[in-house]
Amino acid sequence: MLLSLLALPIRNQRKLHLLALGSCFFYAAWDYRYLGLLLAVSVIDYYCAARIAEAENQRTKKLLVLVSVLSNLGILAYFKYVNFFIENLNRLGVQLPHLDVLLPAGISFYTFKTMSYTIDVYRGHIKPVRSLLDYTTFVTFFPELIAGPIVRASVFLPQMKRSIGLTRDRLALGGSIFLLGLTKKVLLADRLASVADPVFAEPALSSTSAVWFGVIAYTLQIYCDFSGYSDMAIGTAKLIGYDLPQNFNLPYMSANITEFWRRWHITLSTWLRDYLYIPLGGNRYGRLRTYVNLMLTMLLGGLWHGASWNFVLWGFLHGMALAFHRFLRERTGNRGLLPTVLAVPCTFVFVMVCWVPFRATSFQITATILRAMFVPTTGVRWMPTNLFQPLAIIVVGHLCGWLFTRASAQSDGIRERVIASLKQIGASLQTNEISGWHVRLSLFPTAGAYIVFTWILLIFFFACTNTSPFIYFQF
Amino acid sequence: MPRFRSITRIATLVVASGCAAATLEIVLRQGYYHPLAIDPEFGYTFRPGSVVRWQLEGNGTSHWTVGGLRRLAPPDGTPPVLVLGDSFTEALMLDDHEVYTQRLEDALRASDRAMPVLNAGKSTMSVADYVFHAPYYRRTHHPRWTIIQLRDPDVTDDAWKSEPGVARFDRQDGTLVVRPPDVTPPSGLKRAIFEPRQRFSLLGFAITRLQKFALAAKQEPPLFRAGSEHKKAASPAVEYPIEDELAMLVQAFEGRVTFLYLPPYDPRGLEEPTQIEHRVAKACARAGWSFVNLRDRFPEFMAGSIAPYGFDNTSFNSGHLNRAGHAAAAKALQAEMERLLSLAVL
Repeated sequence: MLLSLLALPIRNQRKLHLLALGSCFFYAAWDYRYLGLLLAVSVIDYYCAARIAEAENQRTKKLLVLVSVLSNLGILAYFKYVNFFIENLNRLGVQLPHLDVLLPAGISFYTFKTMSYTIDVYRGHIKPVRSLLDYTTFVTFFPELIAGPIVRASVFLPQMKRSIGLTRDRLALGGSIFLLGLTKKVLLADRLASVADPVFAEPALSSTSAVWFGVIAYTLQIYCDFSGYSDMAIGTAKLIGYDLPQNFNLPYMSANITEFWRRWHITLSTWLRDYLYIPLGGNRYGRLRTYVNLMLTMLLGGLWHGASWNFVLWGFLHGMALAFHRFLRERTGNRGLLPTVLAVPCTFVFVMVCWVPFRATSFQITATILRAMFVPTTGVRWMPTNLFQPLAIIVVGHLCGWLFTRASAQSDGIRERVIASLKQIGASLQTNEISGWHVRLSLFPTAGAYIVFTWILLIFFFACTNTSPFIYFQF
Repeated sequence: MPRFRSITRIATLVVASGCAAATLEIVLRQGYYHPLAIDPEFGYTFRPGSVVRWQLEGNGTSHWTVGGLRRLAPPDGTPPVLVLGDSFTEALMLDDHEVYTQRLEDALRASDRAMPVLNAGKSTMSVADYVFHAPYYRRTHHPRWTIIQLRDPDVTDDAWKSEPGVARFDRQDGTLVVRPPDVTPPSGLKRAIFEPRQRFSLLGFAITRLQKFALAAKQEPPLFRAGSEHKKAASPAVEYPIEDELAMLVQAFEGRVTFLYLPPYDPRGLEEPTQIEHRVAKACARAGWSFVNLRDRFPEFMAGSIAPYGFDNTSFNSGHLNRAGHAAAAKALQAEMERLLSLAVL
């Protein structure tokens, strides 16, 4: 309905108002009480940024950015971490009651978004937005409000001058990307969940093979779930006329952990780099300080995912790996220890093992699963086809993506052959400096329409109907 | 020219959507094809002579004959062992020879005790339905013995809920009674699309999917709490007169009944029966009714690290009885049948 309204022949400014209204309605549909919180965060940062730009002395600017950061972190700390702190204090003997606090949807994402705006204005990277309504449109933009990608003001605000609304080109490209994201979620991720969930619920009953299947399934599930959501967000934004940043770039093809973090949840890792790692000193203060900064960044990055020591452990493991990889790079001069054909599976296995504490609900379950993975254990034997079919699809998809990105880098004729093949079915490869490359499907010629309709019918008929929320909604 | 271009585009879309629909029809027929016929007694049964394919859970091909019996050929009139049950006995997810009823017939034949074992399992049936339809079963099949497959819901919620096409228990002046099912044939639009639904898997499955989406949409949206889980209020416990239900059932089949109980499988507590299971077992022991419990075979599953429920394409230990479960049920029933034969009861 919103897309239809945006197609009306009205002034762009009015369309922006409609978009802001629609986004607020979308958020309020989950719980109207927390819309006020979202708007309050927007207003605080809007006024802080406006005053920062007007302020003449550095001390005032610093104070205002501190107000913005502390208010955002304070809100996040209360709603997300207060019971975590209480639980840990209670373990130390302090007796505090649990608070009845509901985690507002998307709070981890929109607080990071608004903080980055204020900090960028403070740093002079962008000018503050004049209109509170424009700023609210940016903050509440519904496609990425709940689970990212984390969009920076410097990426989004310049696009607001565009005329928004549904056009044929936007429908074709945005629809294609949305369809891909929906496929990843309802055909792949939800199916993989049926393999992973029983293993993580009762790991003590599972044999070594069953546990490995469960962990592999979760590794693929979280990728399909989260990148699927990101694709749906990017696709929806394209329908309206905006480009959202790419969030995943074939992360399981990484040859080392540093490369993994350039390909996985790209908007979060760049946010942590620009607003945490670099302000901590980055790599400017010697080797030891660099490793400490990497560890701190990843520990806090882990904690951002959830109020649990399991997430801190996950962050710790990745921080250690990043520090170790940096140490190796300094010794070997950017040459990897292993050839790519071995480095990629090794990195994949490491990342997969790290997903265990991320998914497990306690250290005990983490320990049980890790033990079962590496110490032969008898238990339930299981050969889940719900793993093998999605695995085959994901492997083929990754290989196709790798072939194209490799081909476009090397220009050895493969790219031209790929483009020519796609043209036969009316499809084309579209590259955008913000959202990366995507395949744009077309309803003409007939072959293109046949593929689109068959694809839509496949989603309709084979999507899992068990309600399964997006994994990153809980963050 | 623009008009011609529009017509060409519309034609392209029509041809492409037709081809897409045809492709999906071919795909769906491999795993979702179950033509129904309207039946005055049961509402719907599988069409006599039809071959049903099912791949949504497991992978099975089943043959159906008159009266909703799962069998290649109609019964020849020999007094059979009649098996009643729900979707666990109907077992669409397995081939004919893998279902415990066929396995039992084959095993009895191999031990020179040949007698037909008729599979009259039907999804959504419960104890109330078996009681209500008992006169029909006795009149039609003249069973020498009846095996009734039960699970916890069959003697509790499923036997008391009000739904189209199924019988239910009720209380009338303090007495347990059975309310007949509503088997009114479809009319209007439902009647108009009934035949096309049976011919085209695409149409039938599309309607089923829409119903599932509608059901999923009605479920409470998930809420997330930082540091704690959202808990639903527990529904109040209902006390069901299980012993009276079973007594009514045994009487309906003149006492010539064996109960096959399928309890949930929990490797952490193989010995622990559910409350309902305990009550059923106790009632059978007290009254001297023939009772077979699949739990007695659970140690074999534990030793083999497998479960009697669940399939490779669904989830471990959830859903319907799998091949191993049916094999174990057949063995347990064979032992009981031979015991009854040795006592000259059967």
